[in-house]
Amino acid sequence: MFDSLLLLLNGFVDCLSLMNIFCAIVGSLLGSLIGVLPGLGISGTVAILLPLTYGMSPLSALIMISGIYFGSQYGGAITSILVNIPGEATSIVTCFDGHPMAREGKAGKALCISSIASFVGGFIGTLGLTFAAAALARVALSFGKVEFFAIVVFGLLLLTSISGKNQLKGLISVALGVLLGCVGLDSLYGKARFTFGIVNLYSGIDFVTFIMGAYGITELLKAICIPEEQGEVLEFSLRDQFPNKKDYKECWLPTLRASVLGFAVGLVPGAGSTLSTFFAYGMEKGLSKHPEKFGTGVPEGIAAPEAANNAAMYAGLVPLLSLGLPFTSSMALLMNAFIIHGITPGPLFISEHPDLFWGLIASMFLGNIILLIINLPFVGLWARLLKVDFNILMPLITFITFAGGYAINYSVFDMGMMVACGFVGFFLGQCGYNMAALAVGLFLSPTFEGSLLGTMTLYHGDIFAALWDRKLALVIIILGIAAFIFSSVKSSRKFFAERNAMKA
Amino acid sequence: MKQLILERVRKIVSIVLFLVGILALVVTLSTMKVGSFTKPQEGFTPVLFSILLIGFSILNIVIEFITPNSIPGELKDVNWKKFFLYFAICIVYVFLVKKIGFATDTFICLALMLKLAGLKGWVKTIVISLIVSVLIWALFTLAMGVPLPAGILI
Repeated sequence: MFDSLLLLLNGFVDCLSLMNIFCAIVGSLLGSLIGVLPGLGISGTVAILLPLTYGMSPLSALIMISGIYFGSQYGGAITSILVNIPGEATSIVTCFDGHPMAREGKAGKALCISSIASFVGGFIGTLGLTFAAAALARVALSFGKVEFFAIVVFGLLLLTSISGKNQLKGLISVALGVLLGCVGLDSLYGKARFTFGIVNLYSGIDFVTFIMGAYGITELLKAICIPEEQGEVLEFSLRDQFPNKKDYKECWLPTLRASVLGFAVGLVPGAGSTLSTFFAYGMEKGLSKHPEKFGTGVPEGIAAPEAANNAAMYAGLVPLLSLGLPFTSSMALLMNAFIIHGITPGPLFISEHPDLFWGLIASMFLGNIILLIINLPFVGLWARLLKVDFNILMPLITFITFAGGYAINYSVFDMGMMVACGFVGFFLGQCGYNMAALAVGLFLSPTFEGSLLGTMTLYHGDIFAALWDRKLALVIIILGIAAFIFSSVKSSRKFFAERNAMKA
Repeated sequence: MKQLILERVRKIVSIVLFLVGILALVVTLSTMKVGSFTKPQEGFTPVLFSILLIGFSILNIVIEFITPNSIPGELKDVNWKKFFLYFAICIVYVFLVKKIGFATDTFICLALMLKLAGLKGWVKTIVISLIVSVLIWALFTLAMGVPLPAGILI
């Protein structure tokens, strides 16, 4: 415990350089700015802005990427409150009470509550991450290929069970993702697979390129081709910005409860931040003395989901940093960003790079404070940005995305791949396929293949013997399958009920 | 006709995914070594996942065909003319970027896309395109050191 504290203090010393603070501020500002724009999403935002970090030192780059990542989360709430359009899926619930409160002329107060709750959620999430990641990494040091195989299967099964509406389409997405991940030179034998003689495919489908296409281009395309009301941006004054004593009294306990709940939900692979907001909102409504007021503009209705989604985002970093296994597309992208900067998260990451790990944790505390400080005075600016004509903004972002896509490998082929991923991703997404499962399948494909083939070679092709020998892996797999079956039965019942209703 | 296709998009996509699985399986079996359970080779994972994809897709096709036709997601709201023009501009952009240079290509395609997105007035469109293409070029080339394609112009 004392050692951890010392290391954390060291982390603060490392990250408190002028350059790193500058990176945290720029990252937070850029993240908030793009988070404000409805539709682009956290993955798209990080993917588009990732090239900005090329050429930086690993710690500065991590700090900037974290700033972008968490900043976009902050920005998402602003559109929920002022326009009733969630900037991110994680901010959908914030609309329920945020916008009614803004309509009552308390937009400033709603934004302030959202910022403070996000700060508390982020702070508790960082605390949880600090201890959980270090503890899990210690346990994970004893993990072999069988455990990693089990965790990947568990994560993918849970991802298809929880995050999508249709489990079968989730499984198809995972299978397609893993197959796409097989494109290129095979990491074990060095043989070319599915390259069709195209040299550019030898290095495989670049994950960031895929995200830029399937998330970035798809969302930009939707913004341009699907007519949508831009929404009326509510006016507010900075004078009404700060909550009063009564608001604080009503919000502090829900914020704390939602932060803890959000962190716990965020630890479940595939659950992600969005689900945590619904859980937190439901919990607060259930515990409230006046549940009927929820949805009419109560401060707890803003504080709970905002605290939960921020805490859950930090929880998503636990498997990423300690096991090297991301289970959401945005976490996979974050891991990709780490790898680009020469850092491979995993069980050995904390012990081999304590400076980076604790520097990153310290930067999260710092970033959280910076986000709180910059968000309040900049709220007016973000609100004005919402009035900018999206007809101008979206094409501009399209071409910044192209430049970013080129900058990854200096490859025009990647730009073409981005367009193709955008086209395919659009139709798959519209038809209900789970794009997150596809992205995570693509990203985890080499890990999955390595652990599967390693296990089979080690146990002479007998997977069951391997699982029986490594009981923890067996338990993990059983839990994953149980969750998947439970969720499938539930959704099949719903499917047949809906089909019968449609026929009737 | 358009309505008919849109209502069947889910079925079409499910069949395409099935065909992708078949293609992956055929390519794997004809170009890679699969190995055995005790000694898996480079084709083992592709075979396993193409079989899974085929299996899941067959089930999916059955479900899609017993489900009544309806237009999925937001497809009924899509302006298809803009949709195909957006992709056409993107494809032309990628095709030309090495030939005429990043900044010039961005200027031309951005102007077209701004018009496509509904921006009124050519002067405004050209001024915005010019400023933005130069800014993006400067940001990536001068500030970040990315050698963007130069082509015959910049």
